[in-house]
Amino acid sequence: MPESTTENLCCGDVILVTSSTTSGRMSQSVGAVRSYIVVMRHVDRLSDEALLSAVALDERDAAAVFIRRFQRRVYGLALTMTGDAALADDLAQVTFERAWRHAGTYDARRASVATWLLTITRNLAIDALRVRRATPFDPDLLSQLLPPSAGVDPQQAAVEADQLGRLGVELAVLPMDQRRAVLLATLAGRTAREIADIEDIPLGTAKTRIRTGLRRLRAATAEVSP
Amino acid sequence: MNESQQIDCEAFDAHAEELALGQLDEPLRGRLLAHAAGCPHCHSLIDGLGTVADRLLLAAPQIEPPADFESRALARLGAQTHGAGRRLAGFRGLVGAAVAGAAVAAAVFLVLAPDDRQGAVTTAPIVATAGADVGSVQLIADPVPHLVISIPAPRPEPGIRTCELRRADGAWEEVGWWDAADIATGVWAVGIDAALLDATAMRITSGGDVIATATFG
Repeated sequence: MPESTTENLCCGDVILVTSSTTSGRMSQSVGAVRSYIVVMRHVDRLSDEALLSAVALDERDAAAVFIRRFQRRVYGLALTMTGDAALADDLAQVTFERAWRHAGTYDARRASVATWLLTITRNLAIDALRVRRATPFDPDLLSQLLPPSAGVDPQQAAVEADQLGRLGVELAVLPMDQRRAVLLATLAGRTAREIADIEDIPLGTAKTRIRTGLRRLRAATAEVSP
Repeated sequence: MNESQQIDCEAFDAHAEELALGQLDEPLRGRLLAHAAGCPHCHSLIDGLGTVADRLLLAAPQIEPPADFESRALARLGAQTHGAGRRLAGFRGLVGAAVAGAAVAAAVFLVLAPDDRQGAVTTAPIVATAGADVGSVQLIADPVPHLVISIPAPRPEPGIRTCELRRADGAWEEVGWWDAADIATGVWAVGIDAALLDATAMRITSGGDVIATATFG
């Protein structure tokens, strides 16, 4: 963990000192603005956003913590979407590489770090699945994806869906057919045509379920986040 | 859809879900986005659907990857760092990242050395409530708007310090906070909105009490 020193600072001497391994690399990284130095302490306690900032600064300790913090989410989504452990592993690796490469473009106003990272995974998985859509859908997967059953007490649903917040509550109270379609489209990366095959329903019905479900979620969440 | 067909709101609406789910290829995707860029209604639609589709990814099951996943990922990044693939982290990106994280926790500190002050817009002494000058604050425009606080001998008491700027209209706006235990050097920096470069004052609070102020201009 980098440590800072505090000796002999005068007013205006706004310099912090990082560990030697970090400062040398930082001096190179920032190029012309060579006097900007970064100090990171207690990297493992950083918020997701601050941690990503540190990753953007090429800080290896931060990168390790970042990977450790998010690898289960990233790998879990990749495996859910592809059903192929080797491919999921590769996609998850590429996800972290891209996150590290593009960390400086992250915009906290648009999404949480976790959401931002998972969209990278999703897009990679969709591209991969276009090339090799051979994995049959595992029906057990859907039951794992489904949130609390319809009709559940909204307050209880809120507790169980804390990661999703209000969206999780609304998802839990969607009609089952719409929930299945929405989750297959989002978490399993399935197209309307594939959902029609999985659910044994007409294509138009699959499209309608996705459309209606997503728009209901949009309307419900928009009500609380103007 | 015929690719030469004009994208109107009706056509956009028909593809909005696929677009939000990332399932469309070019050139249709680009044409739909171009339409949304000029149509507030469709822009709002795709913004909302995209937010929902993206946030639902958080519901994916969390699964432990292979045991060596982390070491392989780090090795991969290390190879990129030492190869030609890694972009150098420009300052704009650094501060951009700092801005992104500032509202949540200012645990990454960007620090300005004395020979890089040409970008300073305004400097003011920081005065403790007891009346003593304890340091300085700078509002700096280049290369991106940010604020640097320097307090050579910070108070040893632990706790959260909150930094606020007074806008031209008189309202105070929080720009970030730090934990005194993590910043013994007394230097803190944060990216700020460009509009705050016209701030008239700065104050630092602890536990709701103002402990220091600075007046610009």
